Amino acid sequence: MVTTNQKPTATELDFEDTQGFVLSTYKHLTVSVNVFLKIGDAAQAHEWLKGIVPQVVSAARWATGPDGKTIKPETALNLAFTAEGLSLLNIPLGGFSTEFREGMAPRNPDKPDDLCARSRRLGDTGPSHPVNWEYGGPKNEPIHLFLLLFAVDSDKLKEYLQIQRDNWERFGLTLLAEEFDYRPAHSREPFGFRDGMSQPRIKGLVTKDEELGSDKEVIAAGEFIQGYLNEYGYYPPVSDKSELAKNGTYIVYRKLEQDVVTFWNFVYTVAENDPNKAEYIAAKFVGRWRDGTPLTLSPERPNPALAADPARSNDFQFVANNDKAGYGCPVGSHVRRTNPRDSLMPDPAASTTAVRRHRIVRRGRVYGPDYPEDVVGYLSQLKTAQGADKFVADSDKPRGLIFMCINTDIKRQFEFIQQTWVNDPKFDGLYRDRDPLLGSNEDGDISNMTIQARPLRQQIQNLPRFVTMRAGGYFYMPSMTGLGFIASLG
Amino acid sequence: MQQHPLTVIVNIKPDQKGRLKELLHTIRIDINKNPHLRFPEISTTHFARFVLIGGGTRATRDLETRLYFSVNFDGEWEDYIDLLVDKAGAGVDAIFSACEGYPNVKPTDPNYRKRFKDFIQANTLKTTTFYQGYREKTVQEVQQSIARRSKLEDLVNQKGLEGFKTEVKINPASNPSILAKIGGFLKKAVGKGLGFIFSPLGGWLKKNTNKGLDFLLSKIIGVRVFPDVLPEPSLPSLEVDTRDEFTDYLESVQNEMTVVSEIDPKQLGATKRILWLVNFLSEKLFNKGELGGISSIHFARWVIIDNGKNLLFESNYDGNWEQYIGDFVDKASLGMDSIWGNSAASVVYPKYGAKDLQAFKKVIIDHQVPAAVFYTAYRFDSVRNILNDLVVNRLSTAGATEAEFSELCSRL
Repeated sequence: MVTTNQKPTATELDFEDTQGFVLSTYKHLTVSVNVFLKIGDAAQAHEWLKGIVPQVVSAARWATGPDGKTIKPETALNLAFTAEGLSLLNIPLGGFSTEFREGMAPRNPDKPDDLCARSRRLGDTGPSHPVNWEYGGPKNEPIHLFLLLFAVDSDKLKEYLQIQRDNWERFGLTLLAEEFDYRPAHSREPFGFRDGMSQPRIKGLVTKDEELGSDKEVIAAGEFIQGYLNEYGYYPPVSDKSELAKNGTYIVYRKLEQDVVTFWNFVYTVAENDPNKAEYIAAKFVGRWRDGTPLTLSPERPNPALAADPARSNDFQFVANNDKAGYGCPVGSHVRRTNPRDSLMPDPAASTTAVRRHRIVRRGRVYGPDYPEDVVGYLSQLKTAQGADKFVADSDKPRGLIFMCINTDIKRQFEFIQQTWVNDPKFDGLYRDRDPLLGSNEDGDISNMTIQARPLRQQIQNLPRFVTMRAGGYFYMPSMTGLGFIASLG
Repeated sequence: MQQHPLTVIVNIKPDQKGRLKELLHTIRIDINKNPHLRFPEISTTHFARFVLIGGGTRATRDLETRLYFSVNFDGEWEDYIDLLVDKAGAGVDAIFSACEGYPNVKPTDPNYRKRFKDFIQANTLKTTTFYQGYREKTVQEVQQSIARRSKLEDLVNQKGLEGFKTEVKINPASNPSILAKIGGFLKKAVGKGLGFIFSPLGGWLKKNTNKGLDFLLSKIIGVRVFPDVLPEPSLPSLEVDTRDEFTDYLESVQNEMTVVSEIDPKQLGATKRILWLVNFLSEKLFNKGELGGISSIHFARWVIIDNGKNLLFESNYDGNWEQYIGDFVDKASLGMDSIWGNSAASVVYPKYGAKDLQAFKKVIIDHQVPAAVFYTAYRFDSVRNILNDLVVNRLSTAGATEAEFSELCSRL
């Protein structure tokens, strides 16, 4: 419980006090690096913070030049903390959520190899077991600070990182991991599908349509930023410290390695090497064609004009658009599991209310070697060219998504989606299916994908795991006020 | 065949508690094959549990002074107890000999059976409200249906539609009679009219009947009524610590919930009336696998225990805790409020009702006790799976019309 009398206001967002990462995708800052640091000495870390806080970018509107154009910055810096990091910096953890305090993969000193309850819930099992993680796992060094650096190009990023590195080393901070990622110009994720099309619109956030997609749903700001009313008409739980009770939020970080070659090989095998059939199967897994056309609106073939129109490409429901049974977009497909819209029991209105209470804002980027927009064409090319292609050399290199999402209640939002929608074999009346892309498909008995069809569905069995967790963590991203407060405690 | 609840609550002899807990643990860790009590052999058992409960307040919750034994079974009470004694006499003796009032005779004694039945009967409480997800279906029928659909699924996967057609008898089409159509319509309409309390429709009725529903609930039934529109809160919600043993999956699709909470003595009459109403609705309307908007409950019950002092709630539900509580709040907050809103002050029921998710979660967490033993006859099957399997079984064995055959195909 908050111990202050300060009453949060429910109305407008405070852009000046919110870190830029929370409200912006930094579209023009195409390259970035995620830096994970360990504190050596708390007093020194406080000194470092005092220097770094003024460099943190807020969500305030950028300045306008004499020509009337917005002056976009060439770099951006944001900062988040683990619970352990906050503790070291003298911040009491009262009021912070249990899942944040425990972390995504809590340590168990008695049984370090055991899978904890949270990992089971999240599907971080088998090869995704946190003991195998590169960082953030129970066998890695504890992360204290998460520094997010963005830049317009690679040279600028390298230069900016070097400046930061020289600086943090002076204050006894140790680098645990550096993860470079980027926004590909073609907006395709490594499997080849257009990504980031369905994002909830945050109430009070004015932004251009093309940045948010065409999701007509406006979700209460309190689902994503602390100190505002959430979808229940309440304020989300926050820290006992009033300085940390507003304009902060939780960041979920997951490094998801995507096995692109296995994915397309599997799909082609199921399709008996018929390229059109393969496109169809892959689209059924995802719920959209590769160009982003929703299957519900265009079940037979991609519709480039529709996909390219942000006003239409995300403007659909399942029941209302006559796709309740999943003949267009399968019930167990990735987009339907992660945002079931109006399709859940008992009726569309109740479904919509419930689904609005389990949304996240995604801030994902990709890592690994660059790849073309047409991954499938590329892959088939290399098959004929017998390994002459660059992609073959690159195909052994890890690649995937740095998934990040923003939510104020990790348990009710991110973890719920992961456990109840993505990984539950019983999702919406199904039997033994998990999310075909993200699901922890390693148990042959529960790894089906059902494609609803008339007269008879197609059941694809024994899906392998296409996505493996390599690192992760739960972080708190304070407001600008909060950052100043943390720095001041030194 | 009728399904019935068995609710037994009996005091544990303090010096026997340790032994009892150990015994229940050995049953728990090998639920189907342990040497003491194997529920699969007591073949009319849908769900069963043993829970060591205390009182109805946060402070007394974990006292473990009483043993709660619950079963959801087919057929008559007497037959079930006979089966229990026949199949697991020694185990049952080992468990209940740790409890007060247990007959001082050996299971080998010819009088044992009668004495044991008397003991169970003496400690059995009347279940006030009983909800069944698939009424009148026996364990055998359900398990047969599950196996039948699974077999047909394999057949279809191997031999496709043609192979499947050889398995199902197609009857010439027959039009349903006008009467049947009207009957179906009426049933639907009545269901919607009265099913208000547990459905989102309740919220609509509450807003649009000019306080008529409030009047019915508060003045006639006498339960506490909470506001439709929440006043803007001045403080953030509580952070509540959910215990892993509740949120985590057990080794089955289902999870269990047992909640014991103190009733406000002044609201005891209202509690009884609302539970009667909910029971009536469960029997007459929510008999298609959906308690209001919630389609994940196999069996649930409310029992007034301790001579009206406490209310016990048991649920056998699909999925996880977070999802279940979310369903309560999203789809049935009026029902939750109408029942638990009558709690004593010690329960700290949210001032504005279950719509305050965090505060409602805290009520459940503060009064929930994990089961020592939880048995399900359907480890891998959700309510929706079972309801689907029952239809598949019926259509595929009795013979289907062309239209029903299409329907059947869509259910595989």
